[in-house]
Amino acid sequence: MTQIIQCLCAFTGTLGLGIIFNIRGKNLFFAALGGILSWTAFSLSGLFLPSDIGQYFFAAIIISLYSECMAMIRKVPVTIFLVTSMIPLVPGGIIFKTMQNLISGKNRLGAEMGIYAFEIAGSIALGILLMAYVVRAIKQIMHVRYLFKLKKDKH
Amino acid sequence: MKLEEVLDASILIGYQLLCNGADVYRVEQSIDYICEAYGAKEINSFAIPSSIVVTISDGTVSLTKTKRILKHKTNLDRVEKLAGLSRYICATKPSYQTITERVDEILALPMWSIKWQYFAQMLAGASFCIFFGGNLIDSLVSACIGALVMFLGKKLETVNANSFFINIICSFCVAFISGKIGVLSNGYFNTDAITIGGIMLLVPGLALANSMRDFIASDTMSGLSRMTEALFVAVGVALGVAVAMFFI
Repeated sequence: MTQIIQCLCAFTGTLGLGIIFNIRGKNLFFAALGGILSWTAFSLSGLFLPSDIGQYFFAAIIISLYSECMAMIRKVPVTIFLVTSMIPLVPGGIIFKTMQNLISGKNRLGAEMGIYAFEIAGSIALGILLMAYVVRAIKQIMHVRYLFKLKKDKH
Repeated sequence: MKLEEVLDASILIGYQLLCNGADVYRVEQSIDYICEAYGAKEINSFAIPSSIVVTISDGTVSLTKTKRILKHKTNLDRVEKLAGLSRYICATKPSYQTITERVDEILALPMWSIKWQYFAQMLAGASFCIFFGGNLIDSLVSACIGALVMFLGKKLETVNANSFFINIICSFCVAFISGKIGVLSNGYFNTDAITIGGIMLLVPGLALANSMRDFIASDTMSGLSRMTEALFVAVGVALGVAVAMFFI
């Protein structure tokens, strides 16, 4: 139940930030849908992935794929969907807890939390990098095939 | 169209794209495509988040123009429209007059009004508060703090404060107010959730996403510059929270 509420909140929160970034029209809805998708992917992947870091990585792959596909369908830059979709995954809470622990003198716990935040950020970045690279490679291959076909037709 | 006009039009669109938060790869690509469509022979475009340099040549004459970008303001609607415009230019090759008119039209498009922006900030603050484990009453407090963040950001922007400073002040206010409310109400509110709800409004999502996209395009310089920007924002937010905790 908490997870369903969290997904809904991810939707409204992403919607709000989409308005701040001045996304308009149908794109705003799809951007907010990316927010709900990212948190759903994160929660569901907990069923078969043992670690949090893996879950973040999986969710990053899903949203990257989603935004690349939506960008192709709606013919807009990928950034519009990617930025808003990744917001629920950003480790804002953990950065806060890091600071809280460091200030209250629990240095070891704070350092652990800080490293954890970096791990999460790294795994999100890696997921996005990987997927964007794969999509780019696929596009390249299809483009080459297309050119090859053109040459064949000429002969 | 003359060579100067091609250069001017392409850099105009590139500049607006970069200002409004597109990734560097797309900016360079748009400039290349536009110049190519008008038949420039040699095109060298180079962009980093703070500057664009383009040199084009028609075989005998070469021209260079540099444009410095001082201010970034995220407006993804414009990015979308400008990307559509550059596609349109490549397909139909309109005159210089038409291009500038179209760009002016895009710049004059309506934005979400201030009222909606406040509402959006409050909605986002409240949602993220519940997202991190607050209840409905906490989320109301977080919504008020969200509106305050918006107000402070707008006020500080008018006095030309830099983004690092703005983030420190905003996150300080978020952490200080929610901490004080928690102390005064004897732990009735979920202080952590309220603070995190406020902090989530300041996270550098766009810079991080763009830096990743620049790294993929093997444009390490832009990627690093955007990454540093994201890191600076994150450090600023963390510092603000840390300072606030000393005062509670």
